[in-house]
Amino acid sequence: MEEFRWYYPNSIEEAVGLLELQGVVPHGGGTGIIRGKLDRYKGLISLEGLGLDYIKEVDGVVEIGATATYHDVIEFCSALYGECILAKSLSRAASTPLRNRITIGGSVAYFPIWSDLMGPLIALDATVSLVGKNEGEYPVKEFARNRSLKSHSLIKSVKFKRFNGFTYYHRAARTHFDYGSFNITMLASFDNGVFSDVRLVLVGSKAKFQRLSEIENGLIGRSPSDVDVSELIGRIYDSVEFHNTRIGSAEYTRSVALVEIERAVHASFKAMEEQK
Amino acid sequence: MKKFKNVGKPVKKFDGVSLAVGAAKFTDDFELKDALHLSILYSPYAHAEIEDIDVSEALAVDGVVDVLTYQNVPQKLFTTAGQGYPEPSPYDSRILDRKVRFVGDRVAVVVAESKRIAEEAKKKIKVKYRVLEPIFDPERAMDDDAPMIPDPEAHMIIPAKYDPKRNLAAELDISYGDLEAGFEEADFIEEHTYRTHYGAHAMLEPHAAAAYIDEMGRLVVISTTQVPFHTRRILSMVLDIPLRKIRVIKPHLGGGFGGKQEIILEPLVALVTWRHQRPSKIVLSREEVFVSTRVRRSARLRLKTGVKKDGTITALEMDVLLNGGAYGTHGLTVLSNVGSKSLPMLNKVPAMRFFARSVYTNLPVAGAYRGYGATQAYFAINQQIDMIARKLGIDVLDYWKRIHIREGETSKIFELIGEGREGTPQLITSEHLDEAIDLGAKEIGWYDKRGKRIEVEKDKVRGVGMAVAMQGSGIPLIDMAAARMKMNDDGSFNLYVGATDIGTGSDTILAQIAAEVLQIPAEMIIVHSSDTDFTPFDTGAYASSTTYVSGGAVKKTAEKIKEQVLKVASEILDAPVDSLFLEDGKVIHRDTGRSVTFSEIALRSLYMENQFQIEATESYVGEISPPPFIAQFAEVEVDRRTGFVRVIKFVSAVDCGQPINPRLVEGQVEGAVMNGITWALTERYIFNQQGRMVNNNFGEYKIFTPPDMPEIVTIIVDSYEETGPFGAKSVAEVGINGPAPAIANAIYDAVGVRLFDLPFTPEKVYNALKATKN
Amino acid sequence: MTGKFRINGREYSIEFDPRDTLLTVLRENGFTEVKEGCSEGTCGACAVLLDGKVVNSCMVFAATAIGKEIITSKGLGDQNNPHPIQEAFAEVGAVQCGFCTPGFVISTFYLLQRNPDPTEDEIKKALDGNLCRCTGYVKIIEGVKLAAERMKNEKV
Ligand SMILES: Cc1cc2nc3c(=O)[nH]c(=O)nc-3n(C[C@H](O)[C@H](O)[C@H](O)COP(=O)(O)OP(=O)(O)OC[C@H]3O[C@@H](n4cnc5c(N)ncnc54)[C@H](O)[C@@H]3O)c2cc1C
Ligand code: FES
Ligand code: FES
Repeated sequence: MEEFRWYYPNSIEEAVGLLELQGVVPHGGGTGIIRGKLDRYKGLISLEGLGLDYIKEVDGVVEIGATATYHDVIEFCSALYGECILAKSLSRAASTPLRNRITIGGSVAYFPIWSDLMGPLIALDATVSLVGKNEGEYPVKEFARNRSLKSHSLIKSVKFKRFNGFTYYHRAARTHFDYGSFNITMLASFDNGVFSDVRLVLVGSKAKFQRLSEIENGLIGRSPSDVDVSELIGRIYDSVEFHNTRIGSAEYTRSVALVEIERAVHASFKAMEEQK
Repeated sequence: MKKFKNVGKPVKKFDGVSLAVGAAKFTDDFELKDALHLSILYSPYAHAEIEDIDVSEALAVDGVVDVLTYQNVPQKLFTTAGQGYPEPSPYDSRILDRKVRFVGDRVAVVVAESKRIAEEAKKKIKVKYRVLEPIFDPERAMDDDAPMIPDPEAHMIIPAKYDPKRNLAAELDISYGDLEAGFEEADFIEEHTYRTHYGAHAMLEPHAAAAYIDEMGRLVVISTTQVPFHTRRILSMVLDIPLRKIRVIKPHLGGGFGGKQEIILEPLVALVTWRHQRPSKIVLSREEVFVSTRVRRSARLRLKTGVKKDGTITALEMDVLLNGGAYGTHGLTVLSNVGSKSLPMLNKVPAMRFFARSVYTNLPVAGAYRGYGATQAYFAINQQIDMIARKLGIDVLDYWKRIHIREGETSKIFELIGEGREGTPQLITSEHLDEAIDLGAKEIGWYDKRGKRIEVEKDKVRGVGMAVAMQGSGIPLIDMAAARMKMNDDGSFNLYVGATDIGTGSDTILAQIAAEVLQIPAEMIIVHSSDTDFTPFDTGAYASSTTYVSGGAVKKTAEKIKEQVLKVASEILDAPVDSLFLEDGKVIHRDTGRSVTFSEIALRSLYMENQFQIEATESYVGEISPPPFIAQFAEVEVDRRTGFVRVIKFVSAVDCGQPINPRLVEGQVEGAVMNGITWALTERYIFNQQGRMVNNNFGEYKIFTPPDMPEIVTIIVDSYEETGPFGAKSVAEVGINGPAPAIANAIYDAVGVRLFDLPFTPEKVYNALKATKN
Repeated sequence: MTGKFRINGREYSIEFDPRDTLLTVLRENGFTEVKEGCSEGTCGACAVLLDGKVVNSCMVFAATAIGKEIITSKGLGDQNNPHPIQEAFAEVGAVQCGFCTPGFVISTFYLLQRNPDPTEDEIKKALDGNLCRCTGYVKIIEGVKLAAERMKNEKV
């Protein structure tokens, strides 16, 4: 068997240097790596010495270091404001012991179809800070589409503007602790009885993730009474497509997803009602 | 209720703290120095013959000691079923065979110095298969052109219908009364086909086995077995090692539910250790447990009932097809139980026919599983009765009360169907099902909820449904259990039982029974169980036999001890035995109140006068198998638009006779209920076209974690079984029979769709809802 | 590779394969109270505290636990001096086969450290990573409640 080794860099520069090595990749929480085929790797880089486990908010911009765990984010966000979308979505992810291990960086890099992180990050228009070969700041959507950005690069953090409006998260799964089949994130702000901002993201469809802009646009500037919800849902019918999922066939999953999107919209109506 | 000192008390399970701490040792926890590690190569094909197998490269790997294949292991046919002798299961298995019959069948076993080496070397085995046509559909298994699955030499060692050439593992055709006349007489016929699916035991501890040679050169096997004595017997037979040279130990066991009533891994470690005279060990991975061990067999049940307008059922016909997978283990006995544990419930039906077959297919092997066929039958019966009651326009609770078997009554079925042979007639000696129905109905709020379709949230509709069931308490005239007891200086006792505590707490309740006889605290009894060298015989943990049968043996033994204790006391107190009684660890003279402690009695008998060891051994065989009864109620919430079903509350009211330990009784029911709920909703074996289970892990084979739980309530109904030890009957299995049909009936109550096929995935419910709309 | 681990308050220098999980390293070194039910992060039988936080030891590379504080169920109590959680579990019947129990004990300890007075819903959520096939969880929830109550009283 080939040698396999661990690296424990103490600075980002040192870590970036190690990324040059063939077959050596960063280790975040390890929950993705440990279940894959380890023969693929010659070594792993522990990111623990890099001080990337921070979460902070400066001038309304939240920055989460790559090695902050789901648990850390839930704690931070719930303390900050109760309706935080990440607190809602991540507390539904995996299980308590796993949330203590799964990192933000690893989860952005890995982006499984059941991710409870990516929908909210996309809705929040988050950016990903990379160091290494592709150093720079990328919109999370772009990072998710362009998987080659990952090579020989390290995610340092993700950033997004804090969102204070209505937040809604739904996750379709067979049981509580399960890989979700799809999830829906909705963020909305209201102004005088009309929607001033709507962001609706579906994760888990054939497209892997999609902004449902037909619905967003159909709501912005309108008040609930002006909206024909079934007509609105009808507009996305063709664009929401699935493979077979854990909860059922492709066609069935689409039906459920459309129902749940409708429920999200109704929940936002109700929230607006209550705000008044 | 009778008054007891120990019985009926929630005595703390003896090993509870040790287990909670983690000190208690399971099979994989024993340190075996220099053990050889085994790794199994499984067949990727559902049906194939090994044309050529080349293990030379694997053998050449540094650290590999041996590679087992069909070419170098004994080729005796045997059954993996851990049953009494002569086993009512076909001898159709070999340790390793030239033919493989399902994806997951064993091809070769690599024996190496470490697990990692064994696993690496396994990849170097080259096998050339001649792929044969597989059969996955049990309905096709007996077709004329179907390929033969079992071994050509497969046979039964008891007289029973068995036709391996036609892939028939077992068949029963039993009837009484005039069926035709009965259907003729009926005002309407209710006939439906129900389907139940495969299920995994999913016990948390994977199967494991270890072996070593002791200082006397004997073979010691430690394994995750529910049946140590059967394991010893079968090992000796298959490996041709004298039985006296084998010792089988069951250490702590991490759940069985029937899945460990099989001799699967023991022959491998025994063979390797015997051949190489070195310790050996194997622990299966979760994936291996799913694909290569045992499952609950699936069933297709067609149930036809003739009913008169007044509700009388005039005739009943049950036609059953079980899919037992690639080997016939437990085929006949589960098949028998489908009828024998369910049909007696409807004993007033004047004519019945039970026609049932179990067939071979090229899918994973079915074995024993909590409920043992009754679960499948009650799924059909309870829905059928719900439908009939609805047609008749009467409450199903009232209907059940009219038709179920009662105390003092019997059923012809008891005589007609036994365990692989004719049955034994028996009267129901205790039955409190009406109370169970009433108490359960009250707890679930039946009359406030039934038919009300309460919509708690938009589109989320609630409904309630129920089911009744019974089981047995051991196999009458077959299951034998023995116990031995001896007294120590301080008045404590060692109790040796062959009974196998597989997590049920049987060690504790057996001690409670002995303590009750002797009127001492249960802590004064130190229990040793399941070691073929040191404990007397017991058939093992299955057929809900432990409390009733093993408990019976313990009670008899303790009574013998009591006689001896009294005899010594009478010498000390110089008073006749019949003037003495036991209380609080003392023997007391009725007239004078003079007393002597157990310790004084022990010291005298051991050291002082007329010395002898106070000890006894007794055996027990049940003459009847008094069934426990249960009424179970589900409240569900159905999402009308997506088909998702959530169980809100689940109530069980059980008549298990006098509970020896109410906490442990509740625990048995609660565990069975949860198992039944997830089997109904989220558990499923998913196979690909090649017959490979694709969801072979807990990530994809879904059972609940605590946040998924409904509210679960268990009610123990006041009851007393005269023939049982201190009034007890069994309880371990019966609770799994009701959840699936109760949920099905509740779904119907909520949204008006009838689900005949398990599991109730949201998509099935959704499709059924859609179909009713159109 | 070799690493120093602090397990249940004692320091151990252990040689292991760099790909080994913490579960493997613990079990191979006699900490058999840490159980292996799946090796995939899905059953919780292998739960331990790693620097005070509950983790599935099968989902942790041993190499990332070097120098950290590891607590197993035996680190909380022993047969003759059980921790109140262990005692409560045994008492209410939360232990049947007991294979899952050390994992539940650790998850419960983690919960009660952070939330000494949990609601039933909070208890269930905190145990969302632990499977038990024997008990149906009813008695486990009861055990957590009893332990919480006793631990609160002890502190007073
Ligand atoms: C049983 C189970 C259930 C789960 N359920 C869910 C769920 O419901 N919802 C959910 O959202 N998640 C879930 N997860 C988590 C998810 O599947 C991944 O395991 C997780 O997101 C990976 O994160 P990690 O920090 O452990 O990454 P690692 O395993 O450490 O790494 C994953 C990949 O990312 C790379 N990487 C890690 N850190 C960085 C970095 N800073 N920069 C660049 N590349 C990096 C690694 O090299 C590797 O290729 C579950 C996991 C398990 C084991
Ligand atoms: S063994 Fe680690 S979670 Fe199952
Ligand atoms: S007690 Fe057996 S798995 Fe929990």
